[in-house]
Amino acid sequence: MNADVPIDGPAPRKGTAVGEFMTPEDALRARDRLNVLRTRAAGRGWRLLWLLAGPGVLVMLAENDGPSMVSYATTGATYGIGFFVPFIVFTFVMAFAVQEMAVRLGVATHRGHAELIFQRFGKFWGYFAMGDLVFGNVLTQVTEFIAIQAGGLYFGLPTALSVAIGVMLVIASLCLRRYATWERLLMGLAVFNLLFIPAALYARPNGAALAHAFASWGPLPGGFNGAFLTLVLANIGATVTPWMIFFQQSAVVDKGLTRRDLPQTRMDTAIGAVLAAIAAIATVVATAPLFTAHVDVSHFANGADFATALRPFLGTTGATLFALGIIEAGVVAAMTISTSSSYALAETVAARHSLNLGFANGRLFYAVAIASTLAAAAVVLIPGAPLLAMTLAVNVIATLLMAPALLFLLLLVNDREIMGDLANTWRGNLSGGVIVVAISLVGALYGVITVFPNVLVK
Amino acid sequence: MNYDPELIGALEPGQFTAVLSQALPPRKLGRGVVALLFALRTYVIIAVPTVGYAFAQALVGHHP
Repeated sequence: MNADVPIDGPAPRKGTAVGEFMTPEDALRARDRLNVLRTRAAGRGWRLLWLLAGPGVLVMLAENDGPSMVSYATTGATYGIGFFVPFIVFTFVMAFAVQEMAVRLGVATHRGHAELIFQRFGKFWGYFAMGDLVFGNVLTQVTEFIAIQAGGLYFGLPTALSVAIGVMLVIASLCLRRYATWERLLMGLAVFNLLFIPAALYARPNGAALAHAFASWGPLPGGFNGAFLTLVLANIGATVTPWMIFFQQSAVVDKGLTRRDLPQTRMDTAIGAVLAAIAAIATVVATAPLFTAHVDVSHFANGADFATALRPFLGTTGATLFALGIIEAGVVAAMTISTSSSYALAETVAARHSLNLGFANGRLFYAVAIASTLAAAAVVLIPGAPLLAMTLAVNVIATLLMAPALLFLLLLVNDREIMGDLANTWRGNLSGGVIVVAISLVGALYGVITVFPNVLVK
Repeated sequence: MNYDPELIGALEPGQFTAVLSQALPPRKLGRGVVALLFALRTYVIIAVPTVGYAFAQALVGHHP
């Protein structure tokens, strides 16, 4: 085999015979695939899993983003160790079920989610799906930079410096122009989401209380009320979101995964869900001392407020780990969500879309990620910017628009013309349908409660 | 541009950019799907102004 495969080539034209030439991004993807094929032929199972892992671990750990960690922290500080510990595991089971469908779509069609909606359901739904995703993503990125600047403030860094570092990290990751390297870099950063585990250990958690919570789904102090329902909905919203579907499907395609890789790709998603659930539960455990000490967290606006309040309970090291975890959550999410926007927009307008593209061939792809990142960062730097309004809008948009995203996911995964034998079975439709209907209703309810808070206030 | 045949063989036919640049045909929609999409349009018509209202309310309530 020629080790020096040329990576410059002409842009593809319609009607070109397969194998006549490869684009540079095809060649880079083919190199990765060759490695996978040789590893599979050698029967090296663990090595194969390592090569094929990535999109699942990334999407799950990236969804443990700044606002999500604040939701989990609020949960721990409001309810302690009890009902929400097993409930978080339940939400990640739902997330796995949804993401597994996106993975199957990717390996069966080799096309992204936005692309499939546009081509199979027409321009209206294509532009709608892309538009609401990109708009919601930009607002979500604002909340990620709020997390980054809040974490920076804990360490005494000026807002401008924290935000600038965040922007530089996002842009630097895009400069790699290689999917495989980008993915491994982000996986390396995402591991720091697990900093919440040692932070939780500093809270000296009661093992018996944790076991009791898992066994009984309790206790639930205060019982069923509006605040409880809002936190239930917020925790679901922190685990299942539209951008995750679009991102993982596009990443599966960009990585070049195929039907044969499905077992390992499912395992990748499951490992990601387990790791993310552990980090989420660790956050609840770490903030449980605030519940025990009856600390009022209703005025807390960001993760840094929690880190500061936790210092007397976790010590300086524990609180520092918590603040670092919040920064990581913001940085990794900003990187993945900006890429999700790039994939969706470029797929919809039929522009080239891959992290293997050079800047010359992927102008639009990279421009979307960089522009959305700069816009989000700029908003955070505006003195007196309505950051809380942005956060509220993000929650409402994400939850209200979850229903269309999930409906299209189900319709696509039942489209036998494109899915073949990977289409949903009746069992898949039953479990997937129940989850989709439940999440859609819950999402719509959360949206209504957020917009009309007096609905549940007696 | 000549590429190593082994490298070309590492990708499935459907993974080449040249193939992917050709759009899939639109899906033939059955009555059930059409009804679902109609319901979805109604949902969107309600949801989009709700999002706008939420954002506007949050901005009005914001005190820098």
